[in-house]
Amino acid sequence: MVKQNGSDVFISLKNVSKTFPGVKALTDINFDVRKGEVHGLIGENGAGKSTLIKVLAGVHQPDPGAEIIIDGERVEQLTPTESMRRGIMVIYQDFSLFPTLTVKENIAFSEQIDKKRRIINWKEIEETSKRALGILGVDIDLNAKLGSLSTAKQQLVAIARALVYDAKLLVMDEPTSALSSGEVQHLFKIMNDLKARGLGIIFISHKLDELFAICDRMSVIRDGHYIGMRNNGETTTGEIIAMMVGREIVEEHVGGTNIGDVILEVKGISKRGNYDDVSFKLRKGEVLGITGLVGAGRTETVRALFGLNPPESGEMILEGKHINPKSPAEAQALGIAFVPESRLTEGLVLQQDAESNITLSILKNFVKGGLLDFKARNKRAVELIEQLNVKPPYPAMQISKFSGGNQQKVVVAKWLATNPKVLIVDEPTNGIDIGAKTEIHALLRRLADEGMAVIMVSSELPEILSISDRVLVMRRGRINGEFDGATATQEAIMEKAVMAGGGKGATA
Amino acid sequence: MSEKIKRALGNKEASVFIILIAVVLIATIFNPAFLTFGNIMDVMKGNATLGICSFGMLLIILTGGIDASVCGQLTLVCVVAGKIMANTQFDNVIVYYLLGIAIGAFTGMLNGLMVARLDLPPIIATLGLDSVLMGFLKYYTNGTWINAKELPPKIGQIGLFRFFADPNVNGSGVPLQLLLYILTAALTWFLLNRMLLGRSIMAMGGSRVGAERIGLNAKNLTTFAYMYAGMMYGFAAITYTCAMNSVDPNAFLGFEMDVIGAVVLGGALMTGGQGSVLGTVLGMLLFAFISNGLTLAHISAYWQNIIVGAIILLAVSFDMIKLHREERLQTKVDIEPKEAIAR
Repeated sequence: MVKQNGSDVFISLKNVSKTFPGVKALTDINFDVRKGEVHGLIGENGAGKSTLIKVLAGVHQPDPGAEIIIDGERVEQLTPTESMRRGIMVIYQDFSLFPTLTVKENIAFSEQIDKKRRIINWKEIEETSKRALGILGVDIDLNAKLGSLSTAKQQLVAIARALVYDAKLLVMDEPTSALSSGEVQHLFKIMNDLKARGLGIIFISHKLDELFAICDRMSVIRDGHYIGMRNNGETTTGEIIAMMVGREIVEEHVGGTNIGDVILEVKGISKRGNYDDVSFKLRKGEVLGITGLVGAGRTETVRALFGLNPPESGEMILEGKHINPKSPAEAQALGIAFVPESRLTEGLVLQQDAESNITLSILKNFVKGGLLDFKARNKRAVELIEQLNVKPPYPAMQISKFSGGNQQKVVVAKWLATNPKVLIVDEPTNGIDIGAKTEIHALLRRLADEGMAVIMVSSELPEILSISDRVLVMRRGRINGEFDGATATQEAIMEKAVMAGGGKGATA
Repeated sequence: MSEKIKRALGNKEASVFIILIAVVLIATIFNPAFLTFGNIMDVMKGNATLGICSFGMLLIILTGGIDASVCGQLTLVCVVAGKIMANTQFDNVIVYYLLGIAIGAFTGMLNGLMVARLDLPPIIATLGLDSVLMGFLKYYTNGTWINAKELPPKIGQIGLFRFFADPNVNGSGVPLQLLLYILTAALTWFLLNRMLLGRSIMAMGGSRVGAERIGLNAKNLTTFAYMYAGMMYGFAAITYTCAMNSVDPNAFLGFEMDVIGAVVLGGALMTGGQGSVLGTVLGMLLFAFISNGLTLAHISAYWQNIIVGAIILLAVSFDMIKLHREERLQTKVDIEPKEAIAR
């Protein structure tokens, strides 16, 4: 294998950009993967990792001007079949396996398609799948239904499927997100074996401890830009975290002016596979930020307060009384309001107008003698539209015609109408432009200053830091750190989000 | 070995089989005439149409779809073939089979294109087609039968044909319809278990995204499933016409429920990807035996509808309850064991 300049690079990307209508997902990515290395790819949610994978898989074509060089040869157009033919195998986070088929079919089915076997060659399937599992050195019943296997075993099947082909580069998208720590160790052993066979592996993960345990090199991308690459052993978690977070423009921190007594206390609530031993206190007039990586259990925890995901053990105390809401209706009656993450599917009735949406949760207040008092309903809706500065201020306009920011205000208005004591918002500015974001932040701050207790769940650290009086950081179902909102830094929070408890942080 | 036993017991087909045995035993206790060769053969003859149609429905349910146009498609073939028979006295049954299969393939393709290409919900697309077909057939036939006297004599003779029949014993031998049923079962089994096409449909039913990622064409596979179903209905319609030696435009009203019922009783999941020929055969037998057993026990036909409907609802509810439970127990957050942190 004589290569010009004798490199052992398998694939290199030069100036890869990808523009979608209205968004530049990737900007001038330069990046290479060597044979026999595990290359970590790190970035926050929405940093552009999945777009980059899809470029490698040939699903997305990069913008003109990009160069993709595989095994020393420039590839003009990387289509899905070309990508597979060159040995690039992507194991998606959801595995893309077939739950109702057997293990051996899952492994060897695409080979049958490739060889155009109109009549299935079961012997071939058996042999191929045995061989693939043999490479991994694992023992899985070939005739078991895939759906009956544990996630860890399904993952091994997904890897085995990739090995049926002459894989040269394995792309693994968050392969450890559903594995226990023992299973992760087993996976790492297999990855090291594959590495020794000369395979390149791109390992995508949020978990820094795992990245440091397995990777040879690590690349960080942020907002679609390639930030840099570091050799393992020549860098620190602190440096990687700083690269991930960057120096984003942070809104000035605005703290509470009217923080009062504890209104809600959560004591050690747990639910298997959702959250574990979560405790915190919430005060009147306070904005409590809850952050962490996706899958850390933030949404699961706040849904517990709203009766959507009740705990199996632990206590919740609202104004000195034990509560245990089992449904949103119960939670609402207790004075808890919840603005969900996906306002379009969970928060709004898109076919109806602003007035109907705003008053949806309090319709029974307008019932007079069994009939709806439309005048009173309109009056209340107009008040709330004014209070929240919804633009345009037309109660009769269909909700789908409002901008994202104003739709969000309507969802908040809907819950304010119930006069809640505790307002929970989940990713309140998801998909909203900057101007509207600032407005929503100001609104939440004002509501708190007027005496409401606000819990804000968000992945965006600048958002968390802008208005939170206190910040809780969750990691793998638990609270892993607590910070004072005025003094916390993005780096300190990120460290708590990605590292096991031991990380140093300015604990409040 | 224990794995194998566990799999067999956990198998849906196995539980259907156990229920089937129970039904046979109970029916025999109520009326010993149930478990006689003659009765079983009569039941098979009477339910061959249902059985053949159920294999078509199986493919559709495997894709995650449903077909509400069984009645319209079956009746169309019966009426068209019956009219030709009556008007021309042409009596080559093979030609009628080919014609029926061709008509079914066409109507099935219409369903398939509506579902796969236009993305219509299967229930809407097939209900729509059923309404169009039945409306046309009512207008065309005015609801009148084509009776035995109008049909060529050979049609009725074929319908009565039995293998190994003892000419001295009335109703002995194996009816032709049972053989045709076994033939379609074997064909569908081969398609689903030995052919890439069938395995691809199974795969797609389990995970459409996964299927597309390995290069399967989900639209074509879905269209094929509806066409195959149409062809089965066409085949069943000619078989039925011969067996009844007449055409009744209203014979199949509500028949789709029986067909769906047989498939669902056989363990197929309405969400797609899961179901088998063996299960569908057992489901059809269960359906047929319950009806026949109730008849022999002199229980009103209305009760049969109630009981069969209730069993179907129970079977589907059981699946959904299981699904919800699995969803609820699903791990959403990978909680780190406490010992790992303490280190």
